[in-house]
Amino acid sequence: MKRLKRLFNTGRNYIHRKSIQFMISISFTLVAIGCMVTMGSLLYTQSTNSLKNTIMQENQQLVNQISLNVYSYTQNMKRISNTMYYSVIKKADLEKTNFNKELALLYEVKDSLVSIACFRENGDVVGATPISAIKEDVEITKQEWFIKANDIIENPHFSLPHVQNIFEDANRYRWVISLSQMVELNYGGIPERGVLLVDMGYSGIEQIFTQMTSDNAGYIYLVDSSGELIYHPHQKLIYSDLYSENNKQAAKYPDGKHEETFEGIKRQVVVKTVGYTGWKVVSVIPNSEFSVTFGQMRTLAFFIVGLAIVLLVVANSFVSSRVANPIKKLEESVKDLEKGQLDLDIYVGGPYEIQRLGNTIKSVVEQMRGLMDDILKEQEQKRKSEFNALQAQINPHFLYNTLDSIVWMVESEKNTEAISMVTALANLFRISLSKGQNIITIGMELRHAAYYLQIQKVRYKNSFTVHEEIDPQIEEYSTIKLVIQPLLENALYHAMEPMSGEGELVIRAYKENEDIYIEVTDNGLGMTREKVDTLLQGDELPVEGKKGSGIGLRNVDQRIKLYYGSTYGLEIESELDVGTTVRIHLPALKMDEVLQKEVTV
Amino acid sequence: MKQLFKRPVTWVTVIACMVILLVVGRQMFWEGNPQTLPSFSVVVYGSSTQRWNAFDQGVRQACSDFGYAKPMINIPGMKADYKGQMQLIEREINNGAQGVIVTCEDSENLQPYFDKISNKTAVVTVLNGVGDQSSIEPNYVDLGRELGERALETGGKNILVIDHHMGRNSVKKSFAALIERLEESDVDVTIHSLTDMEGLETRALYSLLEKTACDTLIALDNETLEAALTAKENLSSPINLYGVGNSEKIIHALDKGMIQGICFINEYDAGYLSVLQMAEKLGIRTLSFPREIQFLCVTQEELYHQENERIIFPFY
Repeated sequence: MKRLKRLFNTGRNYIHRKSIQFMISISFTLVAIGCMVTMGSLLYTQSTNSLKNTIMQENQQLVNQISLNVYSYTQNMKRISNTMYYSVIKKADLEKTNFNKELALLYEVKDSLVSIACFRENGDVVGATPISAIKEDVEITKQEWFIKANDIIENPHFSLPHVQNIFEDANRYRWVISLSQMVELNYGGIPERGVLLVDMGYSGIEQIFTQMTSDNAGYIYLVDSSGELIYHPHQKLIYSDLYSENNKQAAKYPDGKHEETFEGIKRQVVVKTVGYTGWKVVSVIPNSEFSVTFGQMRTLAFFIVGLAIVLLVVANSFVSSRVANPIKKLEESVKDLEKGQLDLDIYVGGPYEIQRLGNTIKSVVEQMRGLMDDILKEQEQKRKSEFNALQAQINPHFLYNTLDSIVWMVESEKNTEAISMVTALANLFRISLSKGQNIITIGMELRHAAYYLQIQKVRYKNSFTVHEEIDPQIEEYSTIKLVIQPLLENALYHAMEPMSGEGELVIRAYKENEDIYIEVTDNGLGMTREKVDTLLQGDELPVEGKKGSGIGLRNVDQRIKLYYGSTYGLEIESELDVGTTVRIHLPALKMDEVLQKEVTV
Repeated sequence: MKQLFKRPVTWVTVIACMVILLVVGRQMFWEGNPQTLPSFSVVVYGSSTQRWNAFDQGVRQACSDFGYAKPMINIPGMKADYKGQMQLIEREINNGAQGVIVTCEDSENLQPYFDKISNKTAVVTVLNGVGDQSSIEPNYVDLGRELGERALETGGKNILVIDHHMGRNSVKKSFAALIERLEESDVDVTIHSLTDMEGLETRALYSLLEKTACDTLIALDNETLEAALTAKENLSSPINLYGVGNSEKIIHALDKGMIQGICFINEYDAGYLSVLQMAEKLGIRTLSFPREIQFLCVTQEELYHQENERIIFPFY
């Protein structure tokens, strides 16, 4: 049982690994074979049964017909006998006359009549035709037909076939069937018993059977009530024990169909009694006769089923390939897609469902291409933004001005201030570069902003004040670099410069829920709502050569959005003559988290 | 569709289909046309076909039962010796007969000829074989003894046995058995040879019977018995005739009391069984069948006994 289960599982796993075409082909083929075999078997069984019934019915009809013919034969004999008896013998007074003329007339009428004779009780011949001379050594009274006629006086007696041997018939030995019946002879009014003998040629019986059974399956024979053979196609062989027949048993069968086994052979037997003689017509069809026909039918059924199966297999292969080939082509397209070939032409063809699938995959691929293009664009933009930010940072004007300031300090022997300036500048650039990293801590970004303000304070001759409200815990959170400095730069140029020494910058940095906010507030002139709205619009980056670093608010906003998503970025609040607050909105991502993410990516 | 026919499985299927068609078609043809026996011929001895009616009927019955083509019975006619038979057999072989059923006129002289042709032609001997080869025939030893018994029953004391056609194994065997049986009893047995008296048997026998004082004559073949019968018809003194005979003339004579007793060989069975043996030798059909056929010894009184008349009298 376990082994069977294992085999079953192995088979199932094997099938599961096979292709759709194989599955479709095998399934359809097995179903087709099953159906064809079942149908073929049913048809064969039906046909053979029907054929067998037909053969048996035909046989029954044949037996009935033969029985009628044999009955007719015996009736003829009886008619002759009755005619002779009632029309001639009964009316004749044998004292005065004889009936040889009538006998001869009657004899002439019937071809198959061999002889008619009438005998007295003591065996003397009263009249006979065609030959009246009796053989010397023949004792009429000891003949079986004579004895039976006297025993059964009510009915005529039919003998078995025998060679007529009572007449002196030179060189003629005829097989006959004798009808004998007791008759009443009249001798001058004195009645005397006699026997009327009518011999009919046996060939009449033989012809009935040979003519009617020449083309039929099996054979037909005739027996009397005790089973003695009257006619059999193999009579001679039976008499010499070269052939056996179940005639004794057959004589006991009632009329109708029977199945018997004789000498190991199964046979179908049909029996019909002939009139009042007690004879039986027996038809025998060995089952092997059916087998030959059934064998041919079986062969034909096998051929048709086989051919149908072959055609179905071919059709299945065709249909399954029609179904499976588009799927295969689609699968190949998907495989190529897996390998990364996004520019391939996805197969769209085959049945409607496969076309739909192909179109869907094609659409997905196109979407993927679009998304990947977007990502590439974003990456490119990001790279450009950073590049620009970096490049801007190394803006010669800022550098020149700062260096000028440093030179002026050195010339003025304000070495301490110069050292401080140089240090601040170095630190500024160090953080700007940050060894090529884009993500730094907020603490570093704030320091970067502080160095920038330190430098600018010197340049602006401390014409503004800076207040910082930094939540120390946010310093370890991450940000993209160069986001605060552009805001400060903006504030300096647009707000502090016009203030003439009363400018105030406030830098706030705090965490709120999961977000980080860094605000740069100035008390400058402020902006209109419309100006505020246009500040972050547009795709172009600020043109180089303008005042300051040239990075611009837009650049910062875009970079933040590129990195963190569109929910983050810059928010500007401004009121005319009050001031402007630019707020940087970042997600609260700790530095180590970001670094780990990058490593994973 | 093109792709379909590029696959090996498609071609394998098509070829398998063709093979099936061929096999099935052949099978159907074979079953629809039962095997027929190759052409064979029948060659008997003597000069009269009527003599062989029962044998012929047996051959035809067998051919009809098994679906074989019915051959003609060939008789040497005027050349009623073994040379005539050899010529007939040779003619039949040249006409395409692959087998020949032969009742041998001369067993000894035909044996070398049969040895020569046996590698290309199937030979079935019936009623009269050659050498030690099996033949479809009765037990001639039993026949000879039975004939002797019947002859002795009538009380004959002076028995003349005709030695004729001793070239036939049948006559030789039955003759030996007959003589042995007769010599066991207290009778005078005379043997007279009719060798070299072909065609003159009647006259020779008549002369013999006129001269000898035998009361019983026994002939061991049909032709000799017929000659003895004819001779007896012209004799003045009565003589009991016994012998081996199958012809209508012999039967009629028995019926009339001209012959007292005969051994009747069932030639119908001989014809039937010879065809079965031919089928066996040609490799068409193998059936178990007896090789020994029946004979009856009947007297006039027994002729019309049911069991005898069924064998002796043909159904025509």
